[in-house]
Amino acid sequence: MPLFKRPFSIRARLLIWIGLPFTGLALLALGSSYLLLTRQINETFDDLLYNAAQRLERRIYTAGGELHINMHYFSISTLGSRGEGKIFYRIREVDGPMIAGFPGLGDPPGPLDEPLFYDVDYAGNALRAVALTFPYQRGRTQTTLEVIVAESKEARYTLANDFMLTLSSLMAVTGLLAMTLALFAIHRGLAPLNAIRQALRRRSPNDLRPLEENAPKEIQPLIASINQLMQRMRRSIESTQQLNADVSHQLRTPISELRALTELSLKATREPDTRANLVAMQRTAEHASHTVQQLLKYAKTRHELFDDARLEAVDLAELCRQACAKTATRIYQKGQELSFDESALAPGQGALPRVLGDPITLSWLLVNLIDNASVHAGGATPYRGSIDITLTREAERIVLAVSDSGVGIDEGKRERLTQRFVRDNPHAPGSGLGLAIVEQIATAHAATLRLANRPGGGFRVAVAFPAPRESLPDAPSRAS
Amino acid sequence: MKALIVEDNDNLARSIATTLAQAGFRIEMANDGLAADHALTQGGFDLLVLDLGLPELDGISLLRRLRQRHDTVAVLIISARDSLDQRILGLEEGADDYLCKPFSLDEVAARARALVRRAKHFGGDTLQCGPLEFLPDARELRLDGAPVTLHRRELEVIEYLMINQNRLVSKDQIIQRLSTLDEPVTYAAVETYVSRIRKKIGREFGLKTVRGLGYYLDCKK
Repeated sequence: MPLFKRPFSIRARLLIWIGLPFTGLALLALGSSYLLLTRQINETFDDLLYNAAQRLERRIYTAGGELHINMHYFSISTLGSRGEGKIFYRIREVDGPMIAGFPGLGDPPGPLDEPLFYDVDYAGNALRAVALTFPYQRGRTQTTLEVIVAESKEARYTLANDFMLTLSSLMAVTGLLAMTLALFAIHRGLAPLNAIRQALRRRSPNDLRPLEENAPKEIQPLIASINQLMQRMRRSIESTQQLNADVSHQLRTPISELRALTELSLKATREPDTRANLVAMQRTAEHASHTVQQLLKYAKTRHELFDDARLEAVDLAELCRQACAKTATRIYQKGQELSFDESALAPGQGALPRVLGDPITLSWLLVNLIDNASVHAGGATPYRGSIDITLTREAERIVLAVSDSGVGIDEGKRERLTQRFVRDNPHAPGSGLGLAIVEQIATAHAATLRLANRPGGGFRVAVAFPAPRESLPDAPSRAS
Repeated sequence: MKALIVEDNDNLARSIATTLAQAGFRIEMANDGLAADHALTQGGFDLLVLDLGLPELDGISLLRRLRQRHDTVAVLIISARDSLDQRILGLEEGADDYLCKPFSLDEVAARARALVRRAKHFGGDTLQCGPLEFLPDARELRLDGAPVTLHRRELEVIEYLMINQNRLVSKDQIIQRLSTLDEPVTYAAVETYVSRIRKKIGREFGLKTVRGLGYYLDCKK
């Protein structure tokens, strides 16, 4: 059962929690900037408009008792605050006729005790207008003039829009930069977690060694938990294997007794029925003792429990010679032959590099392979051929192979051969553990196991060891 | 030939004793380490069959005492202990061979004979292999009773092969056996000696060349 229903990645969470508030803040800043800006622009433009209205006042003169205005059509534009947009004006005497300007420009909406700014529509233009009154000496009469100057708002809009556009682009760019930085920061921040993930992914499924603990303190509890879990698994496997080993061990002596007494009785009696039974007993006892030994080896070679401290530089050629010496007697007594070939190690390559390994389990591996060939190569009939051991170098690998020229195996069953207690050959005794042990030992040495029928008939098991990167120092072989 | 069997399991002790007696040994038995140590100080044994898990004095300590006394009796260890640690320890302490339980009695007899043969090869016992017979004192090889004329080196090679019958013998081992400081022996020389021995005997006698490894002298019982 998953711990979370649909967990977001930490990266997504951080991005959302950083990105959303920042975007909100940025929008808020933009909004308030707009409000402040438009107010500021309006005030400035209003001031300019007011100045323009005042300038208009100076252009009024009296001629023949009539009020005139000294303004060409073209100079209208000079009234304008910035020369953009359209300018409209209207001058008249209060309670009198219009002097100049656009009569359609309506009356101001309120009393003109002081300059009045207001919005007005004229001929389809949205205008901002200022209306003011001032006293004027017309001959000897004191009169009051009313001036309205209106300007289209486009300039204000344009200015505000330009500014807002610049501001928004700037914020967008800054925002993108900030998000990139945030992504980078998240990536860097999550690096230790990624490192753990990588470390866990890279290791073999059976590697139960603890993870390194030099991590930031936030994820140390996680690492500690993982390590505790691994330790618990290791202990659990260890105790199972210890039980297995103990059981096998305790069975050794009684099985030895049974086997010895059976052999002894067999030598002492000539009665055919008893002899037949004793032969069967002997065979069973041999089988049991073989199984007990193999079980013990199986328990001891679980690769989860492999101890790096036992590894040393192993000379595979010497190991082959020793394994052959160990098995030669039983091989030749069955009428089979042995051969060892390391000449394929290409001239000029020098001696085969040593591999890092445990000499004892490696020798079990080889003895198991030789015995396997010896027992099973013939299929239903006893094998009478040669068992060939070769050491070759293939690119970055050192390949140890044991081949026979027997009947081979059924291709369909090949995958199952390394499974525990799967026995392919019903005609020969076996514990069903031989190749399982071989596979465990190979895996513990980071070697790959290849089982294949030979083209010319027979079976070949190849164990490909990774060649060491640098040559390993010579270590005195303990097995010698 | 006299053998001391040190084993606290009665059934095993009895079985091994019977088997070795049939193989021509005179047997004495001890069922704990101290008794065995006492018997060994009397001397006169050619073979010690030693179980490692013993009451009173354990097998390894017994072995250590034995070798400290410079007693060179051939020692065959029999143990139910795990070969992973114990095999090495036993051999380092001076055992000559090692058998893990469960074992077959035939194997015990074969190993015992081989050990004594190797320990005694300076002595006067005649070596047998099928039609061949080697008389160490006379330095003579006989085929069906008739002497075969061999040179000194060839005699040494066939003697060594007969001592180590039914075992794989590497060329290195033969070279080690033959070489003296002023007279080194090469692989090619070993091959020459063997081919001359074959020619002079003139018929199949169980000697097999093990490609890449050495020789195997197959002697049927």
